[in-house]
Amino acid sequence: MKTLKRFWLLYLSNVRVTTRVRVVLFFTILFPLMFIGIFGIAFQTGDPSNTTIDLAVVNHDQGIPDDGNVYRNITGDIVSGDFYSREYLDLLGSVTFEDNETKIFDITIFDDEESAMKRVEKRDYGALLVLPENFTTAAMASRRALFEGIIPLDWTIYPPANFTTQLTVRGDSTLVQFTISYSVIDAVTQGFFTLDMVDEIGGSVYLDGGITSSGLTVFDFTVPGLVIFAILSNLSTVTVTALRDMKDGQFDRLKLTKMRVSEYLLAIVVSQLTISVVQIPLMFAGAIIFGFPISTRILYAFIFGILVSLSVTGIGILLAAFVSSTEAASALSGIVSTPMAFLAGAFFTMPNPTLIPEGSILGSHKLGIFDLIPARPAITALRVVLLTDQGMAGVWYEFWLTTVLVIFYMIIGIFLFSRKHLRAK
Amino acid sequence: MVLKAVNLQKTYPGGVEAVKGIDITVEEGEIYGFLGPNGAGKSTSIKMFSGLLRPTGGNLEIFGIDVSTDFQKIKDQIGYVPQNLIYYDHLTVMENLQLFAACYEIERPEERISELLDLLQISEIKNRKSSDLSGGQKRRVNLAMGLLNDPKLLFLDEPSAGMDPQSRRVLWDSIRRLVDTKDMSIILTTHLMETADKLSDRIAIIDHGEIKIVDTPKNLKEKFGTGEIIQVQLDEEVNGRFEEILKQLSLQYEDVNVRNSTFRIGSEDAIDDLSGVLEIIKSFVSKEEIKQISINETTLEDVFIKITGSELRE
Repeated sequence: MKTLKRFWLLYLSNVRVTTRVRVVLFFTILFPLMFIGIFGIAFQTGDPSNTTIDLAVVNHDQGIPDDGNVYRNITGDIVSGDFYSREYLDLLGSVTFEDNETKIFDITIFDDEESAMKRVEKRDYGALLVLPENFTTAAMASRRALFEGIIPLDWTIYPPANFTTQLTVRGDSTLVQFTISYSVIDAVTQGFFTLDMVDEIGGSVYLDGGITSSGLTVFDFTVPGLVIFAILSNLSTVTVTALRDMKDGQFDRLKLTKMRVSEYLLAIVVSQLTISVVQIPLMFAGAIIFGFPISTRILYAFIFGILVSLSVTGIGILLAAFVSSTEAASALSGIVSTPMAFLAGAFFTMPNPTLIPEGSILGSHKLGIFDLIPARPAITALRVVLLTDQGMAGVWYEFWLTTVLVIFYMIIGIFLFSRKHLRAK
Repeated sequence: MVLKAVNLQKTYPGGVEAVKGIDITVEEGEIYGFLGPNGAGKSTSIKMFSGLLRPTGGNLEIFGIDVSTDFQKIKDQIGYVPQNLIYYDHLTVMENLQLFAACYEIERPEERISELLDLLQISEIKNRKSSDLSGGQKRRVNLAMGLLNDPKLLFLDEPSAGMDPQSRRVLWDSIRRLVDTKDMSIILTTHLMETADKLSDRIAIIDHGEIKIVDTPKNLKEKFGTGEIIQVQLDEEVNGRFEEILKQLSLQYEDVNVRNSTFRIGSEDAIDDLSGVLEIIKSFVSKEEIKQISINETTLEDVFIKITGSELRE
């Protein structure tokens, strides 16, 4: 009970000290909100959807099974060849942006995935869509599911109604073109296989939660980065807080009480988390004013926001191990946090040189040098969960990568900080 | 015995010898003053006593317990009031005290805080932000934080630095009352003669990391004072003649020095010597250039100058 009270008061003191300093309040709350405002005004109406996205496609579809059966479409006509994937690609190629006649995709067919991916990596194409061998089989199964018992055909020769397949969209998920490609393809595919929204495709493609993918703006794409940027801007506060008590003798004074060092450090961590937890809804509230779509998926932002906040605390403590004055701490954290925000892709996508290539120890994932900045996978994940309907299922790799980085920076930070400042002199 | 240090040393990385082997003993209920100029080793000594610095040599026992091995056992019984004002500026006085009371695990913290606020006469400012207080109030808040755990041994590092005379007097009274009513022992450092003189039962004069002498203020003055001091203050404009005056006075009297345009001459019989002193001075300056003449008792400062051969450095 006494430990809890001590921790509570240490925590409360940290929060009070931070929030009662106007300049700190400005940099933690108002400054990031200003960015929301600036980006909101600049890009809210600057719809990237006016620009057609180059989409690479590799089509492995084997078409109608050559099994001696005669298959017909729902109008009774005999079908053959790779009819369904061709129809699907025609549909995809005809989809236009919501407010104009500009086509979303300019499709280029490639023979193999490797050469297509090279062009995607060079950013000649926004994404690569891979259609599986059984695409048509799956389409036929979906027709059976939809029309068996309604349209008189010999449905028994068709693939079973529960037959499913998977399309793959590959590319750099930190790019706005990829995010748009993914969400449009996802919606078109859903519409194609269920036929329930065919009429609407081309005008407006709906995703879960009523978000209109064709309405995605650069601002929408930037918001996840700005939210994480707000949390990154706490780096200076953490570094200065950690060092201040060492330098002005406050920690020495506290050390003579029954306070444990672990309680002291935990109070710093939790007080920073609190500030981040306040920043996240404020940032989204600001973003919503500028047209960011309201969605329950914003709750995911808390998961990644908390992870980034923990990593910022770890990095802040780490930086405090290398400086001896609060002035130096403030300067160093500024030097680190600003490039970190840019390299993490908070404002726009940066090239990310490969450290561990795809297909090696990380399986289908690759690790870039800048992925070692915890904010980067967090921003990527936030873009996916907020702007597509993948949910957490699509970002587990980013979640675990961010978590591992949080643990790494925390351990290294506390170790070096303890060695420099907490050892008996 | 409350504290016993034997040949206690501290050499900082880089080879600076801040404390070169000091021996002290502090008895129960005693106020023990460390008097010395800045950089003499006072704060380093007190930080070693309070466990904030690790000695590089010698032995230190507090309440009979070896501090180097069992500091945790005596931590509850010591209080430390640092030279700098150390608390959270952006918290109120009450919030600072509540935080430290929780850190010390004080039973009934509100009662203890209220007791200290009354003792140090700062109750009326308890809800004010610490940064908004006057210098004297800040010092008293600083002291209150060191007293929260009701220590048996209190370390005060330059307790009255930067205080106005009135606040200083409140502080001295409070410290005296603590020792008298709580049976507390205090070790304080100061470079202010007045503080050392008024507060300390015994004084250790420390300079260049070494203790030069330890005794009561009265004994020090008796041993090293020359009875009385004749002081003659001259107009600053005649300072070109100070050297010659000093030379002539030194031919007649043993204990002569000049500081701030004032000649100080130690004398066994000031009344008898006064006319001789004035005769020498008047041979160099006019009557109008003599600003003030006085005869004073020997001060601790005179003792300090005699022992260390120099004035207290700021």
